[in-house]
Amino acid sequence: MGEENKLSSKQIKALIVSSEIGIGILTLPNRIAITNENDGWIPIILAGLIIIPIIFIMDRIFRMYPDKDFFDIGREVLGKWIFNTFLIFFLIYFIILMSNIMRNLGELIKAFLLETTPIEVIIISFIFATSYIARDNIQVIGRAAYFIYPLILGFVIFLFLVTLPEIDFTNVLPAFQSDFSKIPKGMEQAFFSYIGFEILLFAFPSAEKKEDSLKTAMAGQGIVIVIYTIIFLLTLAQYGVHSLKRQIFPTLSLVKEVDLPGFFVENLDGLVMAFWVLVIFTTMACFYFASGMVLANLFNTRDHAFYIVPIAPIVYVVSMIPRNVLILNETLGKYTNYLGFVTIILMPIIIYIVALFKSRRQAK
Amino acid sequence: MKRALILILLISLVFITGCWDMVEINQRIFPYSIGIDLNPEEGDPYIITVSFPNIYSIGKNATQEERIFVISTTATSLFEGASQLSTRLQYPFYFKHLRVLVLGQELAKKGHLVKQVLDGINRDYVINKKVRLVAAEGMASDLLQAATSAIRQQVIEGPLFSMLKDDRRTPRFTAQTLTDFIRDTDMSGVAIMPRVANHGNDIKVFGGCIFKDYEFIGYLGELENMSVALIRGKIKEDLIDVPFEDVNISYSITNADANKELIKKGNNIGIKISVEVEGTLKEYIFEKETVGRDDNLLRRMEKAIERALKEEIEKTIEKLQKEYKADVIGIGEYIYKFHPKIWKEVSSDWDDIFSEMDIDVEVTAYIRRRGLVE
Repeated sequence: MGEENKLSSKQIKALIVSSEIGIGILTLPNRIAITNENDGWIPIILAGLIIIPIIFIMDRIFRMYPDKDFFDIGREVLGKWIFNTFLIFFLIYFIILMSNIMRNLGELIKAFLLETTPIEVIIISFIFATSYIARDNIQVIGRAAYFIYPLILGFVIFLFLVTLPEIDFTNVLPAFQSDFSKIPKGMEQAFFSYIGFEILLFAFPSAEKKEDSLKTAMAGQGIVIVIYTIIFLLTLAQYGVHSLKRQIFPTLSLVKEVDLPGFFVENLDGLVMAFWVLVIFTTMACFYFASGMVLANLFNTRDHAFYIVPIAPIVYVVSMIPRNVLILNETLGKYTNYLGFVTIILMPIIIYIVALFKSRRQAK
Repeated sequence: MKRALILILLISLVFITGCWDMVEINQRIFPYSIGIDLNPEEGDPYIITVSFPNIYSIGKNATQEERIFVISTTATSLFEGASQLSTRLQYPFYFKHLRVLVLGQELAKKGHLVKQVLDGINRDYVINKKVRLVAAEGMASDLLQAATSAIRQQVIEGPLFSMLKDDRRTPRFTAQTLTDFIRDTDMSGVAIMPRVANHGNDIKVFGGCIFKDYEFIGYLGELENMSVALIRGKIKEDLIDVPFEDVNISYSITNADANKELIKKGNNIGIKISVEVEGTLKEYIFEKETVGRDDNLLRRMEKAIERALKEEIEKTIEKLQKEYKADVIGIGEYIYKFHPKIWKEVSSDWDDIFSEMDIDVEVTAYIRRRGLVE
């Protein structure tokens, strides 16, 4: 067995899968179908592939500076002020992202499970439940993710098997007929569903086998791409493109269609929602933990646990700002996308390029 | 201090355990069919009829006789009707297990009202989207009333649903779920749902009703429905009688498959539909030449079956093309999926193109088995 406080390769894979899969898995097929119709799987795969070089760059950065964590590297490479500005962006991004997740979760649970419970109660209790795990180390979150990971895979396999008998795969056709100029737009939509891999910035330094961590992280990313593509094709085959454009939560609706003859297996949406809450739990825990870490580094504190509870009311207040679900996606959803682009794509690239220059200069 | 804290914690247990807003399962009413009619009088547009099982009549210790209750009201929408009705019942409705939605004939003729009803059901979080749609020949409320006393084995799910659920035996009607109905309409602008009628205390599901853009435009007979099912490849089992020489032979279809093929002739497009059926010889006649060692006889029977099926299918297609201009056989869907470039050209006036189109039918029948006697 490896060291107690290290993340094993399997845990890294589980972390990336369970932090990326969150709200997106429920709404992704619908949004992609609206922009890219039948060819939605193209932007889903492309957006997923774009993330692989970023993961590669992250790994490179940590190899250049072994035994240092992300914050030390950033400060050393970019200088204190520039890096702190990035960190503030990072923090805002995490808070908006968490608020977005919380509001979506609250709305869904209220609609599907707890009709009379006020949404405030759902959100507050969920934030406090996650704050408990976010106070711990990345290792603990890794273990939690490792526990959730088979549930996610099991859910996808189960969904595939139970919908298979009645599904009409010709609905996936016609292929390659949509407007290809809309693919970047679709990729932007799909990108939100892949958010979460930034947890690697915190996970890579504590990896047990540093040589393997890149490979496992990419495998994790690959699994997520496959899962999203399968879900998209299943919902498309079930509904056809026109109806898919109308289903706001196609994945949940797909579950509602399940009606196995001879069994009392139907109306599974409640069960799936309960599973899904667990999935969101790890997603949320990752971001919550990360935002605590960012705050701790901004204020030069050693322990991030101190900052976890003060974040809770901020997340709650931000999550309650949008008037309705539409505005929620219009505002918080968009901000998360843009901020996410700046922080989790641009920042690693900039750090990497600057670090490259610095090391060349030193070599000379 | 510590004791006070413990005391507070203990007291709070009383308030925070359990579900304070739970509803016991026997304090809910689970309707399994809803009928919606057009109100013939002034005022609210709909008549909502809800039929639900009496849970006190189920099981060994049943305390009540009546098994199904039917209750109805006029309303401005389905859900408004449900909430009106709940003032007349002890418990609230819970639509999760709704099975059948019956549209009255007059309502079905009003496209925008049908759209409203279907939107409400499709939008609802609770209702299962596998709810079966049927169109009543007459009032939906009469039908639901008749269903309670239908001379059939009583089933918990209600006779109507059990009939629809088992559409595998016969293609004389094709059960239609809400999702499929909407998908078909999205794809080709038309969809069919089974037609139900009540004669006294008997209810019967047969044929289909064609809905064009959610508006009822005409009926399909039982045999026509079978033809449509054959073309769409939706047949699982059926029995047909075919005249052969001077007797009737019964042929039971055990498997059917249909392929469509696009034929381009200059600017015109045509479709070739090849249907393949497999089955068993069910009934012939004694004393005639035995089927025995003679493959030739089977071949001749196959030819007769092919001829009969082809005639039936062509008649149906003719009716669909000329009378209804309704592409319920999925030709538009086929072109859209497999020849998207052509579809872009024809989609704008598809109904006219469909009604003018050449459709060739080719039927191949196989008698695979011949029963127990020679």
